[in-house]
Amino acid sequence: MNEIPKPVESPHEGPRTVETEAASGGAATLPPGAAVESPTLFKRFRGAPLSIKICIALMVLMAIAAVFAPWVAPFDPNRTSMLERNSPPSWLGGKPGHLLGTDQLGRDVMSRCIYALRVSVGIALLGVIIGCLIGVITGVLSGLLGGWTDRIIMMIVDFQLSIPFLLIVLVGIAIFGTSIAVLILLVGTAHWEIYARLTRGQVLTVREFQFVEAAVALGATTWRIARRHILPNIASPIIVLLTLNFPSILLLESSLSFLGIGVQPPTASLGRMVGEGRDYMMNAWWLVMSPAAFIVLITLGMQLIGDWLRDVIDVRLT
Amino acid sequence: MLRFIGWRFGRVVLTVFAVLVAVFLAARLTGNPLDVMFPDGLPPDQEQRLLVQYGLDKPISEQFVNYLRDLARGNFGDSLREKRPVAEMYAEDIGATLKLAGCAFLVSILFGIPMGMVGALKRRTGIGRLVMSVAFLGYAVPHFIIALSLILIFGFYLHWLPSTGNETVWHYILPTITLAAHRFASIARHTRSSLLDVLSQDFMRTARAKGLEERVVIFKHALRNSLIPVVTILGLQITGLINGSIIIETVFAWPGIGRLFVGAVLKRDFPVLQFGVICFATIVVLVNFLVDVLYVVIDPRIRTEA
Repeated sequence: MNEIPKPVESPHEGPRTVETEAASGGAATLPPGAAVESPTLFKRFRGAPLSIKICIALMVLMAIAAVFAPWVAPFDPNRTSMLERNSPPSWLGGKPGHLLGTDQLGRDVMSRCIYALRVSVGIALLGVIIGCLIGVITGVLSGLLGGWTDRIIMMIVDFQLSIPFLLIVLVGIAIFGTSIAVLILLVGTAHWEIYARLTRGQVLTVREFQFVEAAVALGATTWRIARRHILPNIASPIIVLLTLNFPSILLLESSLSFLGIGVQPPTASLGRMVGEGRDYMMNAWWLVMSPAAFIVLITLGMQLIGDWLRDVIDVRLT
Repeated sequence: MLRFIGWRFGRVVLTVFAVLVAVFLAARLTGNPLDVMFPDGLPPDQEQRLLVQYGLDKPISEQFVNYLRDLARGNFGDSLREKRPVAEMYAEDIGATLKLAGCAFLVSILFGIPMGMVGALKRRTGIGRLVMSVAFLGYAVPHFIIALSLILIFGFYLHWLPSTGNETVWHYILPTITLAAHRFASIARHTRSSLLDVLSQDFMRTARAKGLEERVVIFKHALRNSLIPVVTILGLQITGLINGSIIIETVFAWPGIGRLFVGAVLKRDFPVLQFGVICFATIVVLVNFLVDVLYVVIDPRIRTEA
């Protein structure tokens, strides 16, 4: 984590170059379709430093906990118990069995965190996928079609880069209300432009290669060229972007839910739990710090993995 | 150079115009803007009266012209809840926000650049790693968690510092640290990577070869050159400062425009939101414009390209 060649900031902060993010580690020399990194990527995971392995193990553990929440959670997350209100974590002398204590209604904090993890990770995953899809599609269109399509798409990208996106999300919520679907769509559109710029740059590079020219000469359709020649070449930088983008989407959702304008009760997300616990922070710090710890672990872990992946795959992202 | 500035300013105008259009359309996206303004619903006769009063019965093109004319006259509408001009509400609160953002900005530069330098110059030692780890933490931990942790430790347990309001100097400390954390982390990381780039350049070897003192080499040759890219990052910090203010002011009950904005979202006070977005967007776009111009002024190499 100390040998990071170029810090990747949130997309609003990086130096703005549109054309330079093309280089994906010697794609130029690879034959069409051969640049898919997944087998080598898997090998690289084996050679990863211990810290990265721990991060990956932790993320896998969280993912399992989120998916199998009903089996993993020690208690029903909504079961209240007036006798066990605001009990500290069991290892600090609280009621036995409640590893992270209980909240103001006597609900088990650990179980609630696991269910909230499910909501937060689910929203962030869907958001990342939506952003990636929009970005890759517009990026390919922009790069392949050029002309006015390119200019208009790049104008929208510049527009989004120049406005703090949190504002757009807040206004969107004020207009459309706070439902999970709206929230997913809004966080999904938060960072599509980084994918669009990456894809476009890559398309512009790949388009100049002779094998693409040959494909065009043979009468391949735009769609075929994109699928066979462009997408395999951007697969690995996209994986890096996904890893780095995931924590920022998760943070966006948690921040909104924390402010009370994201996920609405009775659904709990990690940010929502932190927000609710704030009122009881003086007597029951674990209500705030337990979900906060989950958020920090996920974002730190994913960020470290993303930084490592970027160094390994050797992509320059803006 | 003038051509570059003119061209760049054209884009500023275009972006601000796009924001105005977006805000206008956003209110009408759901069909009837009154639904957005009065989510609780209205009796039919009152609704008809308001439609006429706001000019919403006219064709959309005419509405848009009226909207632009109102904005040009400085008529930004009244808050639905407080029944007074939104501009007045923002004018009251912007002072607190600027003070906090200014403090955070200063702190982040004062800490960020030296930290980045240490990170680059001592990168193989423990101290360099430690410094960059702190920067990494500041960058990856969200604002509201830093804020709550600080409140918990310094406010509730140690009782050293107040955690809500902005009456005394002491009130500034926790919000400033929180708001500066992301900023200085990002500045430190950029300074470090930029300095590392410069350190590997040929003129560094030349400077050392001609027998200059190491201090001169670092501060005059390396640091100066490496700060050029950092200046652009400073400009882009404004986006982060605005995002941060929105959350931090709410946590610390800081009476600034960030809290005003979040309150307006919760109360669905659309005129307040509209003015906020236009304001924030204009500030961001203008600052970025100034940074781009400054960038050209301090780095002669870019002038020829522009």
